Amino acid sequence: MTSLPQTRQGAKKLGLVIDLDICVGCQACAVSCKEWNGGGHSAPLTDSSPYGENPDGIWFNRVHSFEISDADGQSRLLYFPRSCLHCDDAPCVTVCPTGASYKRAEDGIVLVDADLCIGCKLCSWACPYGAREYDEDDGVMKKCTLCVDKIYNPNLPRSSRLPACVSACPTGARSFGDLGDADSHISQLVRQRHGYDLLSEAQCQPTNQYLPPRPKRNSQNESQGEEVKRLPASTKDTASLLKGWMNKLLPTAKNEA
Amino acid sequence: MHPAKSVIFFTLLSGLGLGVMNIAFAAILSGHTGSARVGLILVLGVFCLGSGLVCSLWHLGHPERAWRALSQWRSSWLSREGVMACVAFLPPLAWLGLEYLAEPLNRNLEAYLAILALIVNVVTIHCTAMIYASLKPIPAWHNGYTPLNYQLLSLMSGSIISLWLLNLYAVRPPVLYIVTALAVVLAAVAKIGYWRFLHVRKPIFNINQALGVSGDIRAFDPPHSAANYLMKEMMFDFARQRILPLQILTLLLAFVIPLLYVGLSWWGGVQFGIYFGGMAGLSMLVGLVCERWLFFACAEHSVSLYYGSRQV
Repeated sequence: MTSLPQTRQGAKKLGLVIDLDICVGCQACAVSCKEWNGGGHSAPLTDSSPYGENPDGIWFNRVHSFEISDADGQSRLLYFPRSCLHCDDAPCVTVCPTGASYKRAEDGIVLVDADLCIGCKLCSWACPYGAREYDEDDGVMKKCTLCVDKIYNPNLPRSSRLPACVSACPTGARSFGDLGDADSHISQLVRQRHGYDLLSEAQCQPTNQYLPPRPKRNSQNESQGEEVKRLPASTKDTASLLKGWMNKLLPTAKNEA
Repeated sequence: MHPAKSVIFFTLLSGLGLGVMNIAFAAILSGHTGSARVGLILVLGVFCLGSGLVCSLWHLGHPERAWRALSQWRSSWLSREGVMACVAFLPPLAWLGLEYLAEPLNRNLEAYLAILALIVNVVTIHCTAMIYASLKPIPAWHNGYTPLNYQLLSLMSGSIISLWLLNLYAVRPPVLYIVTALAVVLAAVAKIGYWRFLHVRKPIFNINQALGVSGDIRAFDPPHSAANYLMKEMMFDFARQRILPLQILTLLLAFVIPLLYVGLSWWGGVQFGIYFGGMAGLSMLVGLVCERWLFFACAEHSVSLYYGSRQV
């Protein structure tokens, strides 16, 4: 059914919270997602020419990286995992002509019924985030299922009933929970860290929230009053530059963080 | 957006078929009934619409399930277009069936059928346009020019082809000449206006909104080493220098040559109308294929912000 379900305030909205401050771009979430979905609801995830010149394939989670330069010319890297945000006002659901694309009323997960999908690709055009990909082999659209076959799976221990990407993340950058419950752990996390809707201008009301990178510590915003050691100016000679660098690098009683 | 041949020919042929049918029903409404010429134009219209729908099936991963696309008309413009296109077959088939296989309708009923058909066809074209215009991630399509251009190009293509067909029967109604000339001019103005809009419009989305992070951002490591479905479908790569030459070619082939044909055919007589109609029609169709190609190729999708674009 491609009309969006009517849900009441406070209804269960399962989703992910992705912390852009601690994601290190290791790609473990992307790989574990691919591996889990190789055997589950959306299997197989087609790869064409995987060892050839132009490999192509379906991945539900892709980790981008960006370089951010601020006004001072300081740069930092941002690692950005992109996957379906299970939007409340999901345009991919309403544009589907067959009813294959649907949003579950009980938990808000957006899924594709591969038996109904005709592969017209309109849902992938409608999604501003590029969450949906077309499988050339199966002729249907595929997307993140929020591991619906893992989170409710009675054959797994409770601690494993999380999306594969959340289980795999080594830094704890990914969290899973009920964003419709204001008192849940991840709703509190979103409030504390000022989590936000991605590309809110597209008006999809995404469920998944992203936590912004924290400001970089530099002489402009020393929050703890601790003097941040900086490299000496280049007027000094190489030996003292090296010494200064070694001092900064090696932990001592004085500068141990 | 990748210009898929199936979608180019689907929109072109269905618009042409509906436009041709509109001219036939307008003729029926104004009293030109009981003639084989009107019947022939209707048959051509039905054939073009049907061919267009068949073309659209090539775009699908599972064309055998395409009938399911008629079910979600409550929410989906694509579904609405499918339903309306099926409904659009009914008035011409009804008219043809009654005219040739049974008793022709009395004048009043025939006029009502013609009005119904005209409304159904205009709504069908609107639904087709809204499939594209309803997509927020594609600002090049998400505006009022899209439905306007679909209507005008359908009217223009339908009237040029009808004009040529009628010349074959030495029928040269002045009204049709005026309507055709107006349609070509209006369609050209609207198309140029759309291209100008694309050139001057402010971007709707930018990279900072896409990531929710402020600062000067540029893409660093890509998420994958080769292109994927998203890049191939939404980020069609072509030399931007080709846009202006293709626009000029479109104007010449789709608008200038057909308009010249209308004028020269009026003053040159039936012989000119017959011999050059085919060329003008062909020129218009090639020009419209260029126009469709540009419509897709020049449209950028917000997902490109994650792959290196700064704004869309």
